[in-house]
Amino acid sequence: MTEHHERRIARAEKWYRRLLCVLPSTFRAEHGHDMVETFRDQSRHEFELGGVGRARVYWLRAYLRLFSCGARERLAGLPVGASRSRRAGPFGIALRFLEQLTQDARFALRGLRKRPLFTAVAVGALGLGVGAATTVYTVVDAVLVRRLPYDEPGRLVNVWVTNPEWRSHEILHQWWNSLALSYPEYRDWREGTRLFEDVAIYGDEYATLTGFRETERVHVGMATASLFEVLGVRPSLGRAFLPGEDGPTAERLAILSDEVWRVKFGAQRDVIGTAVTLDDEQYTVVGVLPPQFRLRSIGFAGGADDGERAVWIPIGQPGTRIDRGNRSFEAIGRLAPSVSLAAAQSEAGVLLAGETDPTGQGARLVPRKEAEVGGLRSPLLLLFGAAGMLLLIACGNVATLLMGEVGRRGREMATRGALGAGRARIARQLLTESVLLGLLGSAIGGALALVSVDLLVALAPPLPAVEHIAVNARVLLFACGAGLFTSLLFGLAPALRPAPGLSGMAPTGREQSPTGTDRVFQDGVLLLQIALTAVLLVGAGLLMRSLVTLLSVDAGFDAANVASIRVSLPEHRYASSAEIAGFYDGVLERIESIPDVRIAGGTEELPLAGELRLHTFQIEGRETGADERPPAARRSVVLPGFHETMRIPLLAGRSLSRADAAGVQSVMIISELMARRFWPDRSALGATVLYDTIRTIVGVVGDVQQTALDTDVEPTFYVPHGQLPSAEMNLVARTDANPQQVIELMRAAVLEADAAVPITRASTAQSFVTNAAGSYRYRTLLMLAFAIVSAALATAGVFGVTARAVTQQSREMGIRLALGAGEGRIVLATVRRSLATGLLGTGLGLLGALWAARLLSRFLFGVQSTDLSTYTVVAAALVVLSLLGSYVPARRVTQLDPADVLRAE
Amino acid sequence: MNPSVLRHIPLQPRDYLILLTLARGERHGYGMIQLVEERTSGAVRLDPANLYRALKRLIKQGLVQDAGRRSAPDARDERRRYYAITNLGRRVVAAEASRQAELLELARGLTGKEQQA
Repeated sequence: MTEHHERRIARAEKWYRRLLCVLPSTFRAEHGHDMVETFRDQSRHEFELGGVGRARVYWLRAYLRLFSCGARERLAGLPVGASRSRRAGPFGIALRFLEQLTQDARFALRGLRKRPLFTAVAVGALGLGVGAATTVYTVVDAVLVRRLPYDEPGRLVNVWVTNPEWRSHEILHQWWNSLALSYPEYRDWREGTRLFEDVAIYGDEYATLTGFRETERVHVGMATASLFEVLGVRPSLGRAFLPGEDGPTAERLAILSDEVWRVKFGAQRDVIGTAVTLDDEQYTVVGVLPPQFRLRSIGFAGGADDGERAVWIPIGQPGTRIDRGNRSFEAIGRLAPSVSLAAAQSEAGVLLAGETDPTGQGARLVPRKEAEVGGLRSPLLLLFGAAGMLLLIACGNVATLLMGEVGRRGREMATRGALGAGRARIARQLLTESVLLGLLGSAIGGALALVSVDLLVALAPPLPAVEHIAVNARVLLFACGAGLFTSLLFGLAPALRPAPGLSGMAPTGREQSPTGTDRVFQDGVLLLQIALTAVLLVGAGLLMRSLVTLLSVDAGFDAANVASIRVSLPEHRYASSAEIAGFYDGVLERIESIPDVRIAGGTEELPLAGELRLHTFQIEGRETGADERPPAARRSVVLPGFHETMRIPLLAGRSLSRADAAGVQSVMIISELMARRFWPDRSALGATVLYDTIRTIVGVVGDVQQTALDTDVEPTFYVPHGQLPSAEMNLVARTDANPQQVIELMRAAVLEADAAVPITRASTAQSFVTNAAGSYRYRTLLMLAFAIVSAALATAGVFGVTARAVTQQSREMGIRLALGAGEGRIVLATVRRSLATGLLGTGLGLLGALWAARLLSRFLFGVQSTDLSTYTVVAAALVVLSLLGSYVPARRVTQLDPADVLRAE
Repeated sequence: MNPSVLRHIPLQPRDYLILLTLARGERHGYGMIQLVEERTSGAVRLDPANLYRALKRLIKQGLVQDAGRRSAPDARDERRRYYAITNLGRRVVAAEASRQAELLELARGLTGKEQQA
């Protein structure tokens, strides 16, 4: 059993110990300790037998059993017999109340068991509603509610430099207020600040970790000595960096992540003082971070997260830049107690702008929590809102059901009233029943959430805090709360209904005919259900159309049957351009000779797999004015064959080839948009551009969706690898065979060329296209699931209300049939009311959807939030559903035998 | 039969199982759960709450007694409280067993005759 398992068991045990409070104190004192130990023993046993899944089932059962045992022990402790409610004083009143409550509960339970169909439908509907809401809440809890794993996280803020000059630039404007810091800026800021307790910066690097069985490329964090102090994180072993160990005097020290310490060093405690080898340099280990430590890079506008850093080293190692030009460090600060964000922001603005800077720079402060999860808040709350609507609809079903029950049980209620039960007592009885239903619904919903959360996580696009997404105590509490809240909501209406007197007893014991208010209440509930369903259906429809539009976007390349692997050459072993170029030329030849490979090439970054950097250049013969920004475009270094492999069409000129090597004419090819934007009225072919050197444009290729499917394409230029080698490249190969197999052959080809080269990514090009639509697909799927369940529940609602109306009116209908009324007229008379409600609900719902869809508009792509066809389809669907839901039960009217009806009179 | 024994007959099935497991020797809580589960091939699964509820009752009735805490080899040598069956408990189990045997005989006799007829 791993330590991780033991921790889980310890957590479950803690809860068990807390829950022991349901037992009487004498019992607890006598056996509580032993019970916890037995619980621990059995938890371990269940874990060994079936892992966490089996243990969870056991825990749930043990908790529930604890509750029932606690209740029985406490009841057993009460004095027996009628005498127990005779005591006076507050204790007597409490006892009587408790006694009545258990009586009510027992009675309600018996009643529910006698009506299995009613109970199953009500609990099922509630379970679906609570389950959906709880599942989404699980994610909301992990991402939005959970505390960040730092000390007093509320005082932590990320700090960005703002540069108003960039605001008007066509490309740079998206980063104008999220610029990173340089080391000297940090020093100035730290020296001058009075409103921050302390500040820190951190950055990223990748290094080759050697000395273990496998050579590995690892994510390395660079930090100032102040970082861990600012976060309030203490290493679980050893120490943090000390002042003076960063910057120009940086020493080769390392702090390991908990994972690296466990996996690479076997969790040995004497690791402190030993060395790790990064890029052939030795770093002395001074500390190990605690297991819960996380520090996500926020990146530009919430860009891709590269995961946790394996090793931390001080900023300023020899060979890395810490001058003002290297502004690549994210900044984080801890505000002094009771300092406002605005005050700290203006102070940071002054300190970071510096006196010599004429550009009007400032600072922008973002609370850490906001920085980590800000972008996720609205999509999550959107789904949460949808799940809440589903819960309300389910709630409506149960309310209608209960209302019908009250009508059907008029005789029972009247008898109880006649026997002396007060109105309040009867109301309480009914309320107890709904609360019981609510609790049962919560249990089903909680169980549903347990199952569906795993599914939700498996389907989800990458989320932060994904490891925290689990059903925990807070989530279960939420499920309970949701069940109880809704049960009170739907239980209150029938309970407050005027109690029938003896006169309410129908002579033959047949179901009471409904009072006017009952029918209005039922129609109101139905109206609400259909309206909410309309909103959900419109939402799902709009998202679905967005997804379809997104999937039909021409990405500009053909990803099918393309295999890719990413190779990161260790810089310390491949120092010169010639060495790097030589390595990739050799590997490309090997890959091309794989029998299944038709054509191969390489690129800095695959389309839809990441961002290409923006580079500025000068067009020869065109001067850039002093206050004008130079033109900029995205750049990719490519190996010959890349465009052919990805089937990016060549529109003019020629493609790149092996002949475009060092020492011959420097060339580049550009994308169609780049040609159109910078050479609008002439051919770009033959034009010369000053980039790293003077390059001639020799070809124009089609535009490619590089970063995402739902953004505009950007101007891009491609430089031959032979003339500008890059250490990190993605090799691609088109094949007729299974790309997965080809990936393995490509890997072998790379390792044949150099066995100590880390391969940092291997996947099909198609997988990036699939991922690019991931969050759209995810939202659409969830919304669609909610909408379908809602539609089913609403239809069931229409069905139920009409069916009841049919039963109640069967006498009238029978007489009318006997008097010769046609079947069609009778059916129409029965369905008319439900249908009218359905139509009105649809109309109201569509109006509501029109408003709600505006909230949705930022998640839509290629479709307006007022899209007419979606609304039309939804309206038609709801009308059909209302028709179906009311026609089926109404048909029963025609099967009435008038003779039977009259005989019953 | 001794009236102090008869007072406890018939035994509830759960109490009967617990006493049976203790008849073979002292055990701690989890040991009893395991043995019961094993004996009934998983049909009866006790959990701490209902086990200790039953134990509390059996102790009060004088059928089971606390045998003190000591280290348990089957729980990683952590210390656990052990329970033992009392003499009265032994006699009650024996009485319950013979009662059930008689019932079984009776049932066999009845169904046997039916088959012959």
